[in-house]
Amino acid sequence: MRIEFERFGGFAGMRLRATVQTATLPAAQAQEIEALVVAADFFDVPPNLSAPQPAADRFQYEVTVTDGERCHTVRADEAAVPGTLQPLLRRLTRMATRN
Amino acid sequence: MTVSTAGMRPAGMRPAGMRPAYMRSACMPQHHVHCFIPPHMLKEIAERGSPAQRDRALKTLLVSEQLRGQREALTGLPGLATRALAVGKQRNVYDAENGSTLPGRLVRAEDAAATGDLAVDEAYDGSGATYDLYHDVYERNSIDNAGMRLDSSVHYQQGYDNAFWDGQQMVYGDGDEDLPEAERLFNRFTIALDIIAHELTHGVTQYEAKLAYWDQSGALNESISDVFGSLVRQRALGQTAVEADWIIGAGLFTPRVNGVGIRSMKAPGTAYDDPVLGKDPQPAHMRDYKQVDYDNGGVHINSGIPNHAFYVVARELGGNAWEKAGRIWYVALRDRLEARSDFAAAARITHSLAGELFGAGSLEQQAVRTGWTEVGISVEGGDTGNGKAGCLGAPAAALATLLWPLGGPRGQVG
Repeated sequence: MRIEFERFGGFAGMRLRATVQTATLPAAQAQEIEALVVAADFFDVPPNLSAPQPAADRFQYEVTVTDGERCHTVRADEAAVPGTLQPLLRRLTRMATRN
Repeated sequence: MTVSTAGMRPAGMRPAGMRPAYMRSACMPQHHVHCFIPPHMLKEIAERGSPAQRDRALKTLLVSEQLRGQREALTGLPGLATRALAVGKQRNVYDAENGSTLPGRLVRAEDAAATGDLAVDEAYDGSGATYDLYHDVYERNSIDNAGMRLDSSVHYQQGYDNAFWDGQQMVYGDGDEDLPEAERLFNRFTIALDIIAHELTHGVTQYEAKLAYWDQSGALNESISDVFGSLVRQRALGQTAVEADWIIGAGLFTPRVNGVGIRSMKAPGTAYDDPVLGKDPQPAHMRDYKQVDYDNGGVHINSGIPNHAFYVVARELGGNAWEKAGRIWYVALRDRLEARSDFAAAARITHSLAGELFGAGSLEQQAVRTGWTEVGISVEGGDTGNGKAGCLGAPAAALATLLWPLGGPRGQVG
């Protein structure tokens, strides 16, 4: 499984990015991340999650997961992120580097 | 114009049929949340709910009422309404207790003693200092100029490197508190008074110019928040324009970061340069304007340009920046800037206002011209493509705003 993750915006306006290849990770970590993708029901999350009103200084996320034949991109305003997707985004945020 | 090569696109163009997320969200009605619950239901809550529910319902009613320019919503609630409208500075600070539910548990109300929790007390004092600048210098009664209570929530989530205004209140994270100390880059976001004032000013902008949060109007929105954020701090510290450091977010970085803050209005692009965080991307001049498809079109990046223009105006005038430069910018925000105003419109408006407030050809008006000229913007120029003022009459402009979601003026670039 390959995951591309980006976070934009926020008060500081800094960009965070991560590219994760689960095959290259320790088994436990790979399983943890793949489980978060499953728990998020990621491939069925709508591709565009917009907040009802633009809130100043909030984050925006863009996540693409490729797993075998399947590939799905989700672009989300922070305020519109479903609770099921939040643990995956938090995990990826911790793996990301800036710029 | 067409996209000639798949996978490549000229700067500023977007592939046909693909609209960045920031454009979609920005085209939605701004006060959707406020209008969601019908007034009659809010009145029920205001009369029968818990104290917190009553406060929130009343606040929503007041906002809705102002939006519609009607007074009917408050009929039958004279006691509540009068109390809310008559009071002066009112602050509530809530503890989100590391969760995502807002506002959280009320931990400090107006006139209550300090709690000893740094974030709580900084949010309380900082929102007070912000209220004071707007009230004492610009005769403004809170965010909505109608005594709106200033609500802040601290300890939002865990490891939350951010602060934001959610349309109704301020929200602050604790930075990297969940990481081992040796790995932390960010302190709590209440640590800098200008961050607190920045967030509150987003509220003022929401009630006044309503600057659309993308591209140049979004960068102006950000810049306005930095301008008044810095002015609140300068006033609290008793600093003149020359004495002030013009740094936004001083103290936010831990000592591990090579940087003095998040942004520099005096020298945009120089606030930080760090192996982990990268380099401050802000331009100080129009020739370095960054067309990007993230951060709502770079609202936190290109704000460096109007930020620096304001700094130059204040530097030229000397003395306390909030008195003259700040007044020009405040009146522009309150009376002249519009949702789709761009940098050129802001230059034209502030230059014109300086003449009206201080006299045609006055030192103040000359300083405003110098400020915008130093960042490469003419005070007489036309709009640069992001704004509507000057290109369209008011009715046509209003219509254009309504039509944006259907591909109105934005169609020119995509």
